[in-house]
Amino acid sequence: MNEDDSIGLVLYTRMNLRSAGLATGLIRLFLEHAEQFSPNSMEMDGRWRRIDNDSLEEAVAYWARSYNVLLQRQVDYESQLAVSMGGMASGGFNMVDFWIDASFFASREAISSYLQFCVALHDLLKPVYGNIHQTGDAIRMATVDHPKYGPTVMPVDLRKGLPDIYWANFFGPEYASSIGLDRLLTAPCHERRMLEDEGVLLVVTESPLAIRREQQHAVKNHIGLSHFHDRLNL
Amino acid sequence: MKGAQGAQGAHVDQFSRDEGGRAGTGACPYGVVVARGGRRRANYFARLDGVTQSAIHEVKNVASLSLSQGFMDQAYRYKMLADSMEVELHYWLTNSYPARVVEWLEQLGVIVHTGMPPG
Repeated sequence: MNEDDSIGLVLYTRMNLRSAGLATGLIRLFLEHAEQFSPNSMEMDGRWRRIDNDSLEEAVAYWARSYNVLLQRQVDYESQLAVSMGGMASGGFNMVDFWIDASFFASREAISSYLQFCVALHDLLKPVYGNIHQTGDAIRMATVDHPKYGPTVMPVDLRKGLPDIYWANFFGPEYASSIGLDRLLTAPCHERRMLEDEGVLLVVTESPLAIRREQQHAVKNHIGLSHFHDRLNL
Repeated sequence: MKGAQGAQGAHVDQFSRDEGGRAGTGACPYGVVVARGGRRRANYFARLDGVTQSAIHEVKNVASLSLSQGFMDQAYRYKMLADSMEVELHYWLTNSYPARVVEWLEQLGVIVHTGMPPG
């Protein structure tokens, strides 16, 4: 598959992802509630090992002594899960990335079930911030033609502000409080939802494959540009 | 909230102990020492392609780059080092730059270049 076309989820959290209990919960959530796209193997010491309920204990033991783990699925629907646990991401967070082949998002039912799964993932990981996006497009949104270095993808730095507005956007309770619930819940979006932790989920359009830049700009302007890090402004 | 603060502290010393020495290929002559919490600790693992006053540069001239645990662990160590030195971390992906690798680095907080480094 073309990686540019995949749909990516990223969640930034302060939770200790190396905890065996949380690792078990995360793997079980995929295996039991995302049968169509759950990763089914995990890289361990350079080799791919199948993960299922029988091998869960071994996978969790490896996970708990790692700083980064990578899981994948190579048959329809192809997916990849990368978990980074050393508290080094974007200003000191742990980070969960999950990519899935865009062909999965062909129907309303699929999109709805995927979002439901992502909310369950959110409820488990309690992220400070997260988003769901089309991978190639998100990279283009972060790319500048640097006068000294040429084509350059500028990094996310949550200490400086939010990176942008994407198809779906998870605002943790701290952001919900500082931006204001009223403002978030009146954003010009397809869906606005309060989350279990008093955070907010904004979904800009019905499908992640049919989002336009002006819709993203409208939401960003509504929230207030001061909450965002203008990382393309060198 | 303009900026969110993460779980600082990380596992700097753990990383240093874990990795041990790494034979350099085109090893950087710079001695890299991380100062943290008033202690200075040499980082024997670092094989860096370039260190300037303000940045660490790592060049990946790999034909078919892909995300792997080894790649992620190395980027993590370099990010830890860069953060400890309060400098930027730049990755130069000069031969291939798959979207997931670029995106994972971007989200980690790494500046990613997809052209050739100057000089």
